[in-house]
Amino acid sequence: MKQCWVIILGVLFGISLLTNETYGHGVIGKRFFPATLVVDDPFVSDELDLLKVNKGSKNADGTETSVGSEFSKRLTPDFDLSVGWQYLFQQPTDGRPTSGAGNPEFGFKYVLARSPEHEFIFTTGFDAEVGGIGPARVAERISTFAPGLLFGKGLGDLPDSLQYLRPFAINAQLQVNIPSRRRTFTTTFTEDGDIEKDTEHHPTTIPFGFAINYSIPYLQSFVKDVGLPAPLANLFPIVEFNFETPVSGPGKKLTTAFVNPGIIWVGKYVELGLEAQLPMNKVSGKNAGINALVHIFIDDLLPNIFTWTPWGVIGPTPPPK
Amino acid sequence: MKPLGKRALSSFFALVLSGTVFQTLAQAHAFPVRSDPRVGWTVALSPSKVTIWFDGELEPAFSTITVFNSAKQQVDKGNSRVNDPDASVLEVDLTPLPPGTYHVFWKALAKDTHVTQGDFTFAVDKK
Repeated sequence: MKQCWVIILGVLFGISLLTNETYGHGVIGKRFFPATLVVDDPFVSDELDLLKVNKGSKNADGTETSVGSEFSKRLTPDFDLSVGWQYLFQQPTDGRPTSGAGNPEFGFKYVLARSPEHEFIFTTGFDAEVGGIGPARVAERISTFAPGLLFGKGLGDLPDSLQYLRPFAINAQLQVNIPSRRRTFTTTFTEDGDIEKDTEHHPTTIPFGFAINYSIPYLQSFVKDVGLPAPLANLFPIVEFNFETPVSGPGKKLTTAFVNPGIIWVGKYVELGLEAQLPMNKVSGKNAGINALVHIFIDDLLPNIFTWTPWGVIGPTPPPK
Repeated sequence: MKPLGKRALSSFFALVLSGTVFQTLAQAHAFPVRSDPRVGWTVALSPSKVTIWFDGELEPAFSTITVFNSAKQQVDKGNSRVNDPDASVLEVDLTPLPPGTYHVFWKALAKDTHVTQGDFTFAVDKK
């Protein structure tokens, strides 16, 4: 597994040296927002998370690593649908390692408001994990529904005296994870003939988080050309914070919290990201995890295919006058 | 876990390879790579023109540069154009500029009709 990581990172760095071309998507005004690794970004898009990896921190339940993909397709300039899937590797604290496909996830996003002048976008979304499709050893038997709100704001409208802060941008997400059942009751017969009843609670949770990035392309194109060459010119240093608070069940108020510092590199058709996942409290885990992303701007890569919809080709969003 | 790891890695290499190949076939948003005068810099003498190099080819009809002084008066010659041999270069001629700060606004229409835009300042030295 370590060899795989070394090879993948080597290839990603090699790709970054091949081109000095910059970015492709998530544009509002003159601001480009990269796709973030933990917090969902507020843009509707034709994009593909080709490879999304999370090697989680070790917590009371054990450790879990997920390797997945997600595809999103615009049907209008303000509305997209998405489908995602993960393969899970679990190492329980008191059991044997296991692995398998998780449940599929479906979702949509709709842009409620955008202000190119202020580099602002506000979006609503809905995600659903369809329970019972993946094997029971790794996947939930219940479904989960998650309405949410997302926004993005660039600081490009700061005054001249704060011009070096203009490359900063923030995007944030707030959801409510609603399970299809609050509890699952299971009854098992032991070898002694006794009956054991078990109750598994499925709490409603509130995941929320925000990401702050500093855009080197924005700095060099709109504030001051500091002379950074490619691939440094295409970097977005980033830190993401994500939290999840159960609001029902026995674990109520035990908030998990992580800080995820890292770096994103954006090319014309590909985005690459790598972050450390650091737990912020005991509930969240003991050691550092890893987030990694290979993201493809498929409508830029193959515009004749991925800008198509049943009701016509989606053109570019016109700039403000 | 190992078979899946090999499959995933093979798929990854194949897609990255195909993506690299498609980079020469597809066109996308055009973003600036560098400019002359450089973004945010002060130059000693009045430049004769503003030039911006982009990372992709532009449509000449809808790609423009305009330059204003601090009094918001236009100081370019209104002949904004895509460079003839190199369609990724946008330029405009300037009238002689006295010392001061100047604001450049650009709009670029890429070959695939994606529009990008931006602005930056440069200054002419007071010496």
